[in-house]
Amino acid sequence: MEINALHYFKMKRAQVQFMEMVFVLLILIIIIFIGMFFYFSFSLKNIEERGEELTDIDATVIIDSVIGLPEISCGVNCIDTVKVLYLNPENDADYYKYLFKNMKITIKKIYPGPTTRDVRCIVDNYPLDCDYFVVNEMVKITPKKEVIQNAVPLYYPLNKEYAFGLIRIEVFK
Amino acid sequence: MEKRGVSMFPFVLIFVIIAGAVILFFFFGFSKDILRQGKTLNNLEIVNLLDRKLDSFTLAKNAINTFDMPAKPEIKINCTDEFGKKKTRIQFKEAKRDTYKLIVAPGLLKEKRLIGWTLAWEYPFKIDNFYYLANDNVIFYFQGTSGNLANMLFNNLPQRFKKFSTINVDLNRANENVFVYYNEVDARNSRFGGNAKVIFVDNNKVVFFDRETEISEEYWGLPMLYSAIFAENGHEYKCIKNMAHKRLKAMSEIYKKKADYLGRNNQECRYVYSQIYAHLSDNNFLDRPLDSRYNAVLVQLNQQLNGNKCPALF
Repeated sequence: MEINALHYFKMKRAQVQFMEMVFVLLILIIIIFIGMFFYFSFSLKNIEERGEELTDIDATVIIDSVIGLPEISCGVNCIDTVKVLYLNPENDADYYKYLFKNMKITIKKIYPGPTTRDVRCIVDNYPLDCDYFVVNEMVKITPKKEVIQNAVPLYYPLNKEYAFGLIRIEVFK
Repeated sequence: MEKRGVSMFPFVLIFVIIAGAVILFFFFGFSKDILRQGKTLNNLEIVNLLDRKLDSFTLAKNAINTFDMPAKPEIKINCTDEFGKKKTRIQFKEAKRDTYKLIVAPGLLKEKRLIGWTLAWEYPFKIDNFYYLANDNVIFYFQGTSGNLANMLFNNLPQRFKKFSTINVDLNRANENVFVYYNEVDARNSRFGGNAKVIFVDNNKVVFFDRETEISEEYWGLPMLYSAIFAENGHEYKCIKNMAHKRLKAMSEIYKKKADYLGRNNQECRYVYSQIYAHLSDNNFLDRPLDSRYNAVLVQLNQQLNGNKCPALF
């Protein structure tokens, strides 16, 4: 009886030791996972920041690229408004999606002052009864966006006149 | 029933070994993944860097630059066709970037210093830019400079590229260099082993000579002819040419609409605009723009508009 009790006591102690070890390993694994969670969180944040940085560079580069795009350009640093009217990025969606990425691009006439306000230029109201052109609106709208603007000369071929405009690029992130 | 004298030690040992092995295996894999990702990211940055350097050429009509890469790369430029959509792929190991730029390179770009050149393709209005890339040790050999085409080809290739106006080298040792012939028989007789590229050029077409095959293709203008000279082979050139042709069609459509609009709103030059419109709608122009008459007619009509003080088309 005494021997049995002793044996039972020893087994219980061994089980306790075993459980202790399992418990220690479990805690170790939990700590490792917590460490990994933080590591990945920081890595992800870092990658996101890098992505944003790259998107910023893209937006700056794209202003130059858009102004020089043969589809809408009228020479060095100038935009042909008639060509903008007829540019339809949906005709070759893949190409223009690659080119414009997720950026909404509009051009607004600033000087001489337009006779209208916030009226999009289409063939029927161009050139007098409108004040802005849309180059690309094939975008997936997200809450986070950055806006970049730059001055640009606009050319109106019909009367061979130049105007002063503002190109606006909304980068949806 | 539990047996007496059973020691827990072997079980604990086995448990520790297995658990330790699992943890070690996990971390080994994890660190290997991190290393691989780091390398891919670096390769991707090199690929992006090259693409950005080419971006800076977009507005240029004719520009050349030397690109110093951060490491000795092994960049492959090739024209891909995925589900009928043609793109140019810049690839460095597993890192790749697809673009719609018309880029050609005679082979693997593996020097730390690369030469990049661009020419605007105007036919007669600007369609797009061709981008030519080469290792700075590639040599271009031309079979003479007599005749307009030969003279133009040799002289318009910037000095920064290594070029010779005679072919007097042992072609079997001419690794990865480019040989441009104006005599088809000479070119055919010069096909050889190694990585050198042999092409024959005349006023209308270019023929690529490989060891087994000959590929003959038309070209439309000097910038496109240079793309044939820089392209790795006939298939690459054909793919780039198709991409360029697609761009030509898209641009022609815009100019056609512009001509139509200006014609409707300008009585004086309506006739000229309608001629341009008809010309750009002509399937011959869009499907086979090689015929230089079409190009010349457009230039002439545009000059006519300028002469009549009407808005020019381009």
